[in-house]
Amino acid sequence: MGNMRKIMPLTLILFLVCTLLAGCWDKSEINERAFVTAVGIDIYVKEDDKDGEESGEQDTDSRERYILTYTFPNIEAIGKQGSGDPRFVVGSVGLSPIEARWELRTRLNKVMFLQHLKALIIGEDVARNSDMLKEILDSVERNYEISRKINVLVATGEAKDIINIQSKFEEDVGMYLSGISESAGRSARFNPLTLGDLIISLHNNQNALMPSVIPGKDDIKGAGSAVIKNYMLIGWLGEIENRSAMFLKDEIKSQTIVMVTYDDIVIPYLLTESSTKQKARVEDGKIKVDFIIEMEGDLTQYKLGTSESVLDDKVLKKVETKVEVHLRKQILDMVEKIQQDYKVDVINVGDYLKKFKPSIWNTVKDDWENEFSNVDIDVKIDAKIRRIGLTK
Amino acid sequence: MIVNNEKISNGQMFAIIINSTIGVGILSLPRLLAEGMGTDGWILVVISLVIVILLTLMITFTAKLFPGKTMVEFGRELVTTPISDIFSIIYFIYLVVFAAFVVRIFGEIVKMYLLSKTPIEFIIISMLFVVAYLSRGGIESIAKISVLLIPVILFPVLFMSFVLLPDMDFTNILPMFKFSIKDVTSNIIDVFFSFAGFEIILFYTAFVEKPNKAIKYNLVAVIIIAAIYLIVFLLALFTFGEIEITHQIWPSISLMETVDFPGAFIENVQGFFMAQWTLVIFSTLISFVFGASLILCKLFRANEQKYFVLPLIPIVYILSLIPDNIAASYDYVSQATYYLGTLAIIIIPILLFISVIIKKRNRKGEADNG
Repeated sequence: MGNMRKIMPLTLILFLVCTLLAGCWDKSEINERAFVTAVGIDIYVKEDDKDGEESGEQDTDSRERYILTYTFPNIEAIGKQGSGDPRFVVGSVGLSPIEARWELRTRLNKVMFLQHLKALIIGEDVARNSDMLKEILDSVERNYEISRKINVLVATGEAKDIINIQSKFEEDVGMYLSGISESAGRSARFNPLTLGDLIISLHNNQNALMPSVIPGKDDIKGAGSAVIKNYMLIGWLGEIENRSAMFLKDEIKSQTIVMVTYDDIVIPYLLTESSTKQKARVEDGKIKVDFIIEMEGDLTQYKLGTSESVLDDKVLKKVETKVEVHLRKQILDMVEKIQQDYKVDVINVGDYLKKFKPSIWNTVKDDWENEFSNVDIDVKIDAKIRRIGLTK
Repeated sequence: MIVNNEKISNGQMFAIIINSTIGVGILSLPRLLAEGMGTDGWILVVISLVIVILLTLMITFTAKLFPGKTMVEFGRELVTTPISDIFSIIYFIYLVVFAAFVVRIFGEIVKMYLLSKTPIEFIIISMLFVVAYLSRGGIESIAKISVLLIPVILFPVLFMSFVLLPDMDFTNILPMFKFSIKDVTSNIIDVFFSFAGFEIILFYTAFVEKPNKAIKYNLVAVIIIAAIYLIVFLLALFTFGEIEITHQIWPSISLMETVDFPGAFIENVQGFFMAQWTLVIFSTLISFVFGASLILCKLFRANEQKYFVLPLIPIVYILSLIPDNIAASYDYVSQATYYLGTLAIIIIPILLFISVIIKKRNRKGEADNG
């Protein structure tokens, strides 16, 4: 018993020490953190009258510098009693994204916390510079804080314009952009891309289609995509072209609308299902690739007072043919553009050949960039109308 | 053979084998496989498994002939005391070096993902003290912990398979069978050493209650290990594709980062997985540290293994801090595996097995003559 009496106080003290010391080593209070939700990256344009800026390390003086724009919500403004600006926007200049972030520490009383980052916006000028794009993506991939699930977007113009937009729908730009990516992705005119997918695509073949965003007055529009070739932005695809590319990549989800005119009547054809298959063969020394697209959808609008009823298989067949011809032309136009103007395989033909036709791939893989332009691509579409709504 | 705290069942042995083999190797294994043979990397796992099965058969066969004796003791009977003691010392160095490597990689990863401000020395030393505490508890406590940790290893693998399913591209495994024999021979060694850990059978079989039934359990254990390796590789391949895997130091951790839960409630699940993985590393370390202390104890013909645990901790600690950075630690350990690993996992078990066969034949010959 005497032994027990000696041990008990000691044990108690040890327990107290454990409870009191827990978590203090790496402590960081939630209100001292800046939960960055979106980052924009642009090239810094030097202004001569700004002499407060440090010139940086000497041997790197001639290099262009980044300007990073961060936005994070004002935690004190959240909630009913909240006051003040709902969010903060800060900018910082540096030779690398990480230097810019470190420089910001000298001005910010909070700890930057990137694990809740939602969107990374890359300015057009940065994207057009392959070295800068490579640097940024490496730094982002290397950083354990940044999740591979964040959205990466290219801004037409400057990324900071996107960050600065005070949207009326959502106070926080990062949440707003990720919301757009989620809802607009379904319309296929805009192709949301996560950091992980972008990096996989670039590692695989140095090409990618990155979604592009256009700043509006008080909103942001996601439309079309930026064509990246050899880590460099070389052009854009419009909304319809982007949809065509997504058809070929078999990334079309439901709820895509195709508008066709039949007998001067505009008919919206709402896709419910679509699947794309590729077939490749060599004919007369030329590679021929066929895309076979099978789709199902609903006819969602006709017109009152027309002589023909859509409750007639023949009419529906005609409408289906219209859809097929219309889409085929759009897609072939897009293929022509990427084959002849951009010379870049963003529709994964090379990937298909590598996986399913390694014998063909081995003959062209060394010069795929040029060979791709010579590939004979054809599209076969089979559109079906399954439902016509409640009226005849 | 004093206390009854010295017996484990075959099922517990099975758990110990799985726990000591799966450790840090699984994190970088998908990269090794993809670098070696691209989409055909899984073939390397299958070939390694065949070799491991053969070695497991040999080791278990040798060990079960000497119930209650570890390799240190029965080695003396088989290949004379001096040679056997050299073998034992090699095993000792091997286990200590690997424990140091495992704890260093553990420290690096925990520092990177969880405790960025905590000094790595502190992460390592606190881990080692916990390991020492359990190792002093003897084989029975280790066996019980190992059984408890089996679901901790298996559950995340199954869980990941389900949550990653929507994002997988199963065509990433194509083209299949596009490899040459040279690819296999030049990469098989590295992949084979991902199975390092099963050779503890040589020492732990001494505690097994019914060693005659051990072979079945040990084989199932190594097959399960190979299955887990295969699943993790295929998950990484289907999610990332063969090229992206080779760009990552630890593709298995990047897989966790790719897991996306709907809603913003759980943003990053790495924390959860890192906690689970800490336990996996813990079980590997225990098995290595206990093995090393057991060898020392038997070498000195001592009775109590537990006094040899604490002196090991500073050695492991100092060894773990020798490499300057993570790249250097991988360099050191690949050197160590080539020399120590080859001896400990391949050459010595085969030598012991051969001497057992010769002994048996001689004995049979004597019996026939007499």
